[in-house]
Amino acid sequence: MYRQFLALRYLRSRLVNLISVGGVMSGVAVLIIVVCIMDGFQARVRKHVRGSLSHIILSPTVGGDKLPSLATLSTALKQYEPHVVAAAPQIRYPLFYEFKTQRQVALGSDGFTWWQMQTVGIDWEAEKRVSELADALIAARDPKRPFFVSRQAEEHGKTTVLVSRTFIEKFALTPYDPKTGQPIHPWGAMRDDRTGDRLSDPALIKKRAESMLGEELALMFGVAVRDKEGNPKFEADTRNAVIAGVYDSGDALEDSKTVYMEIGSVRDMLPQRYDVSQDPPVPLPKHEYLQVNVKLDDFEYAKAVKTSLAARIGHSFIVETWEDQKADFLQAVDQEKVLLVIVLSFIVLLGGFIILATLTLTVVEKTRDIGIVGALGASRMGVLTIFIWNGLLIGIIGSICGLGLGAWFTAHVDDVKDFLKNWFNIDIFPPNIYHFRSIPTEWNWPSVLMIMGGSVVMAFFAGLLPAMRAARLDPIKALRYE
Amino acid sequence: MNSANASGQAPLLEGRGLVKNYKVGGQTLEVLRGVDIAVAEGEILAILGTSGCGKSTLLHVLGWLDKPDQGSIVFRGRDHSDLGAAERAHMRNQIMGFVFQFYHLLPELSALENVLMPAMIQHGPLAWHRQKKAERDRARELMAIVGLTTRAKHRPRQLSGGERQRVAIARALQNRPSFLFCDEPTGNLDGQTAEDVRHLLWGLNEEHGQTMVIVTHDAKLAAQADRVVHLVDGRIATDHDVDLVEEVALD
Repeated sequence: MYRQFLALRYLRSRLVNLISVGGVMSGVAVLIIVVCIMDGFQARVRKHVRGSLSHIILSPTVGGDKLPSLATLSTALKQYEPHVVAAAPQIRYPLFYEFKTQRQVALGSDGFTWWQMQTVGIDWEAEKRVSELADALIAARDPKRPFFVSRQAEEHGKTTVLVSRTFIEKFALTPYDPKTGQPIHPWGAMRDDRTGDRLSDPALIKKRAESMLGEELALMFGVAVRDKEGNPKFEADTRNAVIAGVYDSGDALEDSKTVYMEIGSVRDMLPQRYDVSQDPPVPLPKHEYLQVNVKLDDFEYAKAVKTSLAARIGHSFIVETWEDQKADFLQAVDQEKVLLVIVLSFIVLLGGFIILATLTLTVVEKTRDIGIVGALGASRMGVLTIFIWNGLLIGIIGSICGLGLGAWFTAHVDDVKDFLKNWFNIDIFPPNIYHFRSIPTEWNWPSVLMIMGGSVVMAFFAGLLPAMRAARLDPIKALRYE
Repeated sequence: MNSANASGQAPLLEGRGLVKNYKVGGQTLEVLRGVDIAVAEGEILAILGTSGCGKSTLLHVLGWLDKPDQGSIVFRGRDHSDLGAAERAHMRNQIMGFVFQFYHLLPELSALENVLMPAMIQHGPLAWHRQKKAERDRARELMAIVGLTTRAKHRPRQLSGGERQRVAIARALQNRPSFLFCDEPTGNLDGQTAEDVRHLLWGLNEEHGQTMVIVTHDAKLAAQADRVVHLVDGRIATDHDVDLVEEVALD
């Protein structure tokens, strides 16, 4: 009994032990915080990537004329694989948002700046069934038909788009309901800070006949033509669009670069290709879709379904799971977590060295005590255990304190973020870099317990060396020690 | 006086031909050169000698703190010379009570906790849980015997030298040892306090028949023991009952 008793008493009586406890505590807390944030980050990344990408993605590898119609394809898919719940078509196409920067406005420049984006053409009814876009919609005149603005606009063939909240904020746009003149998004009216105008019919893509582009970029998009002097010229399909609704998927980076349109509008934007073997050349049918998102009843089956579908329709489609598409990104996140944990483990190791140092000091200081308990009948093993207990107690108490601190920090991480932002103007989690507006966390008990257990084991080994030193002391010599 | 020698009883503890050498700086220092000594139950044996004559070493060897290089320790007729470290630790805990010149209390513990220490060493956590109350009662009783009932919660540094030595005596008695080994128990105390402590020790012998071995260089203290062994240069010079000389010395 004396082992634990003395260990506890030494721990209590020496202030320097508090430093050891603090060392272990900070190490454990930092590791817990980092692991929880990284786990949360991973989980949210997966959720959002999955949300916008669906479970299985089919990309056609054949021309539009050889592509089966979507109806045929979905029937076939469901027939091949009972796990298929729904399939939705998409056409993704690059797009530039044209605007004037504040400097261009100030200089009265004629020039424009382009923000590169992609438009995702969707069939709303089908899309609702495969992705979480419907849940992400935060403002629209009619959430059931988010692309519908007014009959008038429809008759005029107006292009209507869904843009993200991030996009709206980035370009200080204010989408208004054309009928009521009220802003359609819930967080209050914003003004176009470049012109000071209220945008009653906000132009997403302003009309510009011709714009010069870098040749490579133009070639990449297949839109390069040459002007009279033979210089490359960008002949873009430009159109004004009406913001019909606003969504926020939570992935700020992806959101700022994505607008949704009706699939028909995007299909119109695809360049027309011709069968040149005929004379005159015959226009080839455009692709009905350039991607098909397939939702399964459970993502668990994605790999198996992928294999079986690849065998059946692999001749005209690339079949991928969403994880395949984002493999590099997901791996980067995983990798980052491993790296951070390894680096931060050094803090715990440092805690171990502090324990080693303070316990060595304690043993020297307690040499006489060691002799006394020896004379009273403590064996060497007993003396060894006193100091091992001392180290263990530091580890256990430090871990528990670290658990508390880590749990608090994890629970209040957004408050801490806001505090830093408000008081020191340090933005530790800018949404444009980290994809998300709030810092995602996920409490992961196995990881937390592993961190705590690891620290206690480390404390044990840190205490072992001084404890062995204490056990080697000769009680008689220790008694003479003054 | 409880002179055991006179009654012809077999000795409780016997050291036979004890030799102990220390190596100091390459030289061998012969501290004990064949000491034969016997302690009878219930007696107060004083080992008298100048400093450096080996009397503390003799005490350590007899008390299983140190191992003799030669010779044997016989306790209750059984040879206990070649006990292992753990067994010797057990013997120290069960059979011996040590009282040191410099008290050697644990500074972080209260007086009562210091007294409880041998019992805590004896019991594991589970046994301690069962025995706690009995052991505490025993410790309180001992604190009362040494006259420190009110100072149980004080730390050693809050106690005077005499009080500390009383706590040390109580601690030595906690596990009901067969022997009390006192190494200069009054060596660090002034006249009156030293006399009080001596009175306490002798009282324990008279009332409870506590066997004691007292190492001292103080002839006056030794003269009050039942028997005195003179240790000169690692050998026993004289060994005699004090009964006869005592009266003469006191005169």
